[in-house]
Amino acid sequence: MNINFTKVIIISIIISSCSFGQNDWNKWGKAENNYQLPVQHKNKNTISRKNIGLLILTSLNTTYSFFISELDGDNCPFYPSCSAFFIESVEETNLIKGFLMFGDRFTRDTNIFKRLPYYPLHISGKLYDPVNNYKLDKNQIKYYPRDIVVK
Amino acid sequence: MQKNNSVKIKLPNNLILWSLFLVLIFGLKSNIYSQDHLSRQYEFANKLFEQELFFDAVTEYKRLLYFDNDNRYEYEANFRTGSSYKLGGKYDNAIIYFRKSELIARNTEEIFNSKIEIIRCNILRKTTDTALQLLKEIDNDTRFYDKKDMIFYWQGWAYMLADDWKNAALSFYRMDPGHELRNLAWKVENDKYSVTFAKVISYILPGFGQFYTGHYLSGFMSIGWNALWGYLTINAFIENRAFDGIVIGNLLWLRFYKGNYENAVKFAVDENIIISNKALRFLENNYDGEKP
Amino acid sequence: MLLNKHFKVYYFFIATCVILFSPIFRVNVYSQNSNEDIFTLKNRLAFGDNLFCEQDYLRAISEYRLFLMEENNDTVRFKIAYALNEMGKLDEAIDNYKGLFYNTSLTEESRLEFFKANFKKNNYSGFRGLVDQNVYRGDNYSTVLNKLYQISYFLEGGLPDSSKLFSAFAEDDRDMMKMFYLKKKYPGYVSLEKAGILSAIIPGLGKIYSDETGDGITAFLYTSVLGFLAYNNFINDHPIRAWIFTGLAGYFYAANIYGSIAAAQNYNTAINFRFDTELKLYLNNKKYYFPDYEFLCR
Repeated sequence: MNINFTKVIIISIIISSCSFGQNDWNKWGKAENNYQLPVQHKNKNTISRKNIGLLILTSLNTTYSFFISELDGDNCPFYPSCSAFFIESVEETNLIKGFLMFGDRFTRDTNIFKRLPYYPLHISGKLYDPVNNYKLDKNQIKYYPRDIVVK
Repeated sequence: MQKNNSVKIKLPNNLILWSLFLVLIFGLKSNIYSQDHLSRQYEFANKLFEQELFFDAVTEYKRLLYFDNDNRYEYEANFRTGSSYKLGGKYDNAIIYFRKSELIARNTEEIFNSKIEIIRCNILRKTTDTALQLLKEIDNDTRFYDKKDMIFYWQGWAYMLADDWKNAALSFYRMDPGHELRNLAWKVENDKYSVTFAKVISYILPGFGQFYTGHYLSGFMSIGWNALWGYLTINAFIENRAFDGIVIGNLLWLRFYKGNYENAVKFAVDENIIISNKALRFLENNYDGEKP
Repeated sequence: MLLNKHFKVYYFFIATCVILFSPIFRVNVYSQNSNEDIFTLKNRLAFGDNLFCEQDYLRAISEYRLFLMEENNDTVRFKIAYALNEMGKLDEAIDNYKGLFYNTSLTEESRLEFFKANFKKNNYSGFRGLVDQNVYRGDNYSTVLNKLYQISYFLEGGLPDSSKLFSAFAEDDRDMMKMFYLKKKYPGYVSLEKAGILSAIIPGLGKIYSDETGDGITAFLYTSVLGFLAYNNFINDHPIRAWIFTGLAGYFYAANIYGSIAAAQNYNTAINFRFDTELKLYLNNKKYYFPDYEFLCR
């Protein structure tokens, strides 16, 4: 009686991909030559001037990434890297909540046990773990099935 | 008198002859100037194609195919629909129509044209393995023994767009040793950095992998960090503080050492992509020869 | 005499040349057999139907619209609305369906498809509101609408009335509906408060309760190791280091409680997502309980 969950996911992916296969449902024109290889986007650490707290935090973040983070390799398995996650969480909620979210993220980052099935895959090859899922706001949580690739 | 009589007798014959002649001329003229509805539709669709209104051109070619019961225009309409889709960037649909045109092609030339167009679509949508396999099939096909030049040319293009410049240079060389694209591919291959070399040298001398690709600041900082933590770790072991030594060595020195060779590889790969893209931009905008 | 004959020949020759190349006669002789012209109304309709069957909807719609400029036809208008629906342009489809409600031969079918488009818009309370207003409802197809009405409660608006739900469906569907009803009534949510309290008692337990075992163990390790280091340093009389470790232990303890609550929320959201996907897949398989139309290309 119970529908197998993986079958649900596979069929929903197939249904959605069929609808994208019909490219003639929108009018198209001439396409330009596009031979170039895709370039990896580099994280741009911007210094936010919204308020004094964010200014301090983002400048600290830029310094940290310049001196340390860019030199010790790729250590974070998640897509918004831990420092970017921290800055974004402080921006979107307040400082205390941001610190707590960062502590939780740090714990999950250093988790030595199997974590692959818990997060969906991001297109950059890392696990996708957005800030919205941890703001304790039910309406902002977006659940992704574990075997799809998020853009 | 006799003259008049002869003229009178001849005139009716002349009249009949000339009226027959006129009817014939009008009949022929109606054949010369009347256009079949299908050929009119074909010309209309072709006009849209030339004006680069590809979406509408596809509509009109489909209309032609629907009403063409004798399949007079089947090859051309399918071929041109495929070309319209290809020029609009819809390579999957283009390949479908080129395959249809290949199946109903009437002679070797048309089969070859359809096959080459399918290969070009595969090159453009970056499914290089399929393109190379199809090229190999054409190469082995005895019907196309005189088209080797074209086969090598498109093989070179397939390799170029797949970032394999060494094989591209080889393919162009087999076609024509002094070809412009052969020189371009060879130059790109030589300009590129060796990723293996960057990795190996940064294992031996931390920071030198970054120097190799021109990232001097990053190289110096890497040397600095590795020297600092290395000194502290060895110092801790010399002073018999083994636990501290292990902690510092593992948590800090290893981290920066790993980061050093990861960066060396990353910079080499990024620089190679920049070099490739420069050449590919040249091909997009400034190259005058035939493009896929 | 000879000259005269030649003159006549030349006259006729020149006359025929003039006639041949004069534009007046060109128009008359141009053959235009109206049966063969492919832009007649009948041919446009045939080509449009062919495009519709191939699912080339945008082109089919433009052909149908050109057809409708000259002649009115209910089936064609219905097909335009249906194509818009399939392409996902639901608002336009709804407007087109509304145009078929009165004085047409397809009034029942268009009303039914109107409700289907509204259902697909994911605004289920709005859908129920429309169904309740009797203005749009047709006479037939009320069983289909009733089924969708009851199912819409699952997707938005809580739990349907169980007796109304089961009476709307036939025998073979009732088991599935019973399963969905039970899943909605007893979803197996994880209580947020319980997760928080468990984590406060033993760090990491709340996360294990929310089905994130590895994270829970890691959180426990952090708090306990840092706490042990703090205790150790207090005993060995290193107050500064001890307070630092205490601070860190407290920080990770608070973060662990926060994380447990967030993990519990994520777990509940996952349950809702799976239920919705399963229900929508089931509806798709049943084609939303809608009938097949013979006049459409299938």
